Parts: sequence; structure tokens; C-alpha cells
Amino acid sequence: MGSNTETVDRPAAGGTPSVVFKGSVNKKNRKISGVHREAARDIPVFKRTQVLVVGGGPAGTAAAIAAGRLGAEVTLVERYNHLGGLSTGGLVLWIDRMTDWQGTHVIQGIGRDLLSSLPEGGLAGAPSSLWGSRDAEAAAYWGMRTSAFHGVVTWSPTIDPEWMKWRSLQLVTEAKVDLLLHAWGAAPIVEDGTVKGAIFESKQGRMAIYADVVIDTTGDGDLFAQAGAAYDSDINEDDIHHCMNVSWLFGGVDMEAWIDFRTREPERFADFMQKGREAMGFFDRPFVSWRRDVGLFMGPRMAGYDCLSVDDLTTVEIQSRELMVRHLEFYKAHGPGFRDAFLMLSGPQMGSRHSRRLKGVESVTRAQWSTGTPLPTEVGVSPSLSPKFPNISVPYGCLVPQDVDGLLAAGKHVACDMHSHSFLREIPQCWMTGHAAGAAAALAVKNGVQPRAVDIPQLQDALRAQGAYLNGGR
Amino acid sequence: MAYVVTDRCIACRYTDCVAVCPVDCFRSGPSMLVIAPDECIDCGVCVPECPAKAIRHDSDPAGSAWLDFNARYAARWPSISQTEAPLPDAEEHRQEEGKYPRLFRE
Repeated sequence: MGSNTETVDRPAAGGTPSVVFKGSVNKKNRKISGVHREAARDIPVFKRTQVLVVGGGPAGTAAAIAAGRLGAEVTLVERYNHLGGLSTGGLVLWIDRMTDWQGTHVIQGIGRDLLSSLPEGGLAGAPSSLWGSRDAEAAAYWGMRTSAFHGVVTWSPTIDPEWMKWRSLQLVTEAKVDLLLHAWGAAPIVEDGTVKGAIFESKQGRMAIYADVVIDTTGDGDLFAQAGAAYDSDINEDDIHHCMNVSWLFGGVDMEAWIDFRTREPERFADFMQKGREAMGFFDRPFVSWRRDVGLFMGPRMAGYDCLSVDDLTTVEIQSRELMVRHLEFYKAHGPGFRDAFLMLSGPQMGSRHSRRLKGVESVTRAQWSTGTPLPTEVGVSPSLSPKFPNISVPYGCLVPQDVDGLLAAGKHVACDMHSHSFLREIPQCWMTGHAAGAAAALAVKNGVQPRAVDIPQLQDALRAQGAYLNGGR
Repeated sequence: MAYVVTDRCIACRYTDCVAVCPVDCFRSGPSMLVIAPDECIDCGVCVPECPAKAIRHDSDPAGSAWLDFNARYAARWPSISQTEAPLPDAEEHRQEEGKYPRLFRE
């Protein structure tokens, strides 16, 4: 690692005792200090648009592209400096399954377009000839590379986040979307139960955008909750959705050496994991990335925190990075393939699974899993969690609020029960529901109707024309 | 990081979790299941499937107490990847507390 001529004695990076991480829930007990009355004021109307998409993660990016391609005038507001949300900034580079258990590519449309746009070397995954294969050797190989589950090889590639950010910007621009980065969609503008636009905050201050249809792709229902739409929230200690984490990348590693160690020396691997747990309590292990020399740590999941609380978000940011540094030290010392590892990147965005879920006019529920019946209002088809279940038909109504007009929701906060949320929250499904919301919003504008009144066969035709996979496809 | 099976599984062993686990990391003992923590990928889809609410995350104090236990028995018990019938008195024991001293079997 190069010569060390320093004479100053100092602890190895990460070798200092933990000051913030106590290995258990560490919530700040903050008391609100009073009430401040903000003066009413006039704010500029930044623009008027047909479709306003708030949040440029997978769902919002797909929604904006879909609506733009259908000829709608679209504005996309994103708080970070990039598109792709958790798939890029959150380092959820391991895209979940796009294929079903038979190998059929069921999540297509804009999501497929985004993946197809990545250059050679910008993603890694099983070749299409193997999708659905139950060949034991192929499944074992791809199982170690997060692309085979239940003994079936799937299309679930790992992507280069920088290429996904750039391609997302290109596709959004080509669709003639008016993109605003560094802009936080702060509140909906609601009149008589109908959303008429949104207020956003930026370096320029607080401004309004009026829109015919607003799509909430904030991931946490930030807009629909404030607009008065009904929603579910299962934040409790029995729920899977309450954990948060910052993912990170270690560079300078040899993931093939790591996989060799895991597969060929199971006893040493078990011992390594045991020592890691003893050393730091929360111990994570690497997954493959799009490159052999980059290891992906999804990050220690912190339970008992609320991703809507600014104190909790701050605490988890700090604890995650402390654990990242301690993992670096441990892996460099003991992890095969990690001797020369370095801190490459911690997720610019916090990873959270769930906070609010819309109560929609329809919902994806556990009772539906076994039926395999295509719903009449289907706008997408999701792979199921295991070969035991057929594919899941996703209805338009899980994007439509029960009682608020002018608004659609797409992404991880769509209407579903907590069982079904475990797959509807994933990146491919966010592309799928975003695509559907964008197409529906464009049709609502074109036909001068509320989103809930969009003609379903016309929507399904529009989605198919944009490459979406639906049951009974032509 | 991993999800773990806690004592709430003891004498129930519903095995609904097994059907959804993408990486087949459950192991089956005489009175309960455990998760092989080194194989679990933290997806959490098993959690809402369990009728006894027995699965917790190891970052949760209620789960972390069972982490070593899961690792230990995962090394001994056979893998299970298909749902089976629950144990005969599963319903009776579903909501019981403190089952480990009375009902656990190796």
C-alpha cells in the first residue's frame, strides 16, 4: 500500500472506539420548542404545465419519459442532482427481477428502455439465453451474482449508476421534458379536493407550478399525504419496512476472489462471518456490482427508525458511515479479495423501504397472489416472489387516490398490502408503475378528463405501443 | 446482516416463509425453523408471511438476541425449500410467549 514515512502515531482509519454507534436504536428525544407563525405571502408561479412529476427516481423518470413521448408538456422536479433515485443515488444497483420464473421478460416498457440504453460494461447480468434456465451449474454461478433465485436464472442485472444517471437524463431530454434539478417538491396545491399543481423550494426560494395532472413519485407519498389522500402506514416493530440504510461501494477489490472464497471454503467463510459479527455487531457482506473490482454493500439495515424523521435520517447517515469505515478495516484485514479496498462511495441517497402507501381505488393484495388472473384494469405484470405463485397483475387503480382528483401516485408508495409491497417496492416495479402513471396522465390531459376517468383500453394500448408487457398482448 | 427466526416459531413451524425466500436460507429443526444468517440477503419478504410473527431483523433487539442461535442451528439442521404442514398444535401455541424453555427441541 505504498511507503509510510509518517512519524505521527495515529489510530488506523476506523480504529477509534465508536462514539455514535451503540448497536441498538438510538433515537433522539427531541421536543418541539414552540410554534412559529409564518406570514402569508405571494409566491411566483414558475410555470404552467400539463403534467407535473414530483420526484425523479425510477418511477418519476419513467413517468416523465412516458408522458413526454405521448406528446404531453411535462415538467419533472427532482431534489438531487441526478435522476434514478435509489437505483443510482441509493446504490440499489442490483436491479431486481425483470423476468418471471419461466424466463419471460415481463417488466418491459420504459424500464427496459433504460437498461437497454446502458453501454457495454455499464451493466452485468445473465444473457437472455439463460433467463428461466434451471440448469444447476448456471443457477449456482448466477446465484453468487444475484441473478438466480429458487434455482432459476433471471434477468436481474447490476448497473453502473453513473451511466444510468446519464442515460436517464438523455431519455428525459429526448422526450422534451422540462427538467428541474436541485428542486424540492414541497407541497401540493389543492382546491376543492383536486390537486392543481405543487409548490417547490430551491435556491430561488418558494415557487408554484400549476399543472393539469400531478404525479407523486416522491416515494414517501409526500404530496398525496398533504393533499389529504388516504394512505396506509405500517411503521411498527413487527413490520419489515421499518429499516433504513446507506449503501456503499468499496473499490480496489477482487469480487471473483471473494466468490471463490465463499463457494470453495464454506467453513472459513462461516468463521469469517462469525468473527465479523463479533467484531462489530452489525456485519454486512458484499454483493457483486457491474465490475469485478467494485464490491456493493447494501449496508447495515437499521431497524426502529422512521425515514420521515429528520433526526432519524441524520442518525442513520452517521451510524451507517461509521459502520462503513469499520467494515473497510475488517475486510482489508480479513476479507479475501479486499486487501487493497478503499472507500469508493457512500450512497448519496438514504435507502428506505417504506413509509406511506396510498389507499387506491384498487390495491394489490396477498389474496391475489395465487390466482394469476389478469385484472381488467391491468397496467403491468410483476414477477411473483417465488415459482409457487403465478405472475401478479397490477391494476391501474393502485395508482389512483380514492378521494383526491388531479393526482396519480407511482413507485414504492402505490396501493398494496404490506405482503405485496415486498416486491412492488423494487426498482423494476417502480419503472412499471411510473410508466403507467405517465401514460395515464398524458391521456387524461389529452382527453380533458380526471386521471380516474382515463379510458382503460386506450391506456393499455398506449402502454403496449410504448413496449410495455401486458397479459393478452397482441 | 440478516433476518432471524425467534422463539415464536417454536412448536408452530408454519413454514409459509420458506415458499417466498429467494435464496432458500431456511433450515428445519424438530420444533422450529432458523435462518442461515450468512445466506440471508436481507430482503425481508418472509416477515409478513409468518402467522406467528416469529421473524425479526438482527438490527432489532428482539432479533439480535437470536442471531447466534440461528447461526448455530443453521449449521446443523437440513435445508428446507418447500412449505410443509405446520406442527400439530401450531394454532394452540401461536401466540404463546416464552416457549423456548418448555417446547424447544434440538
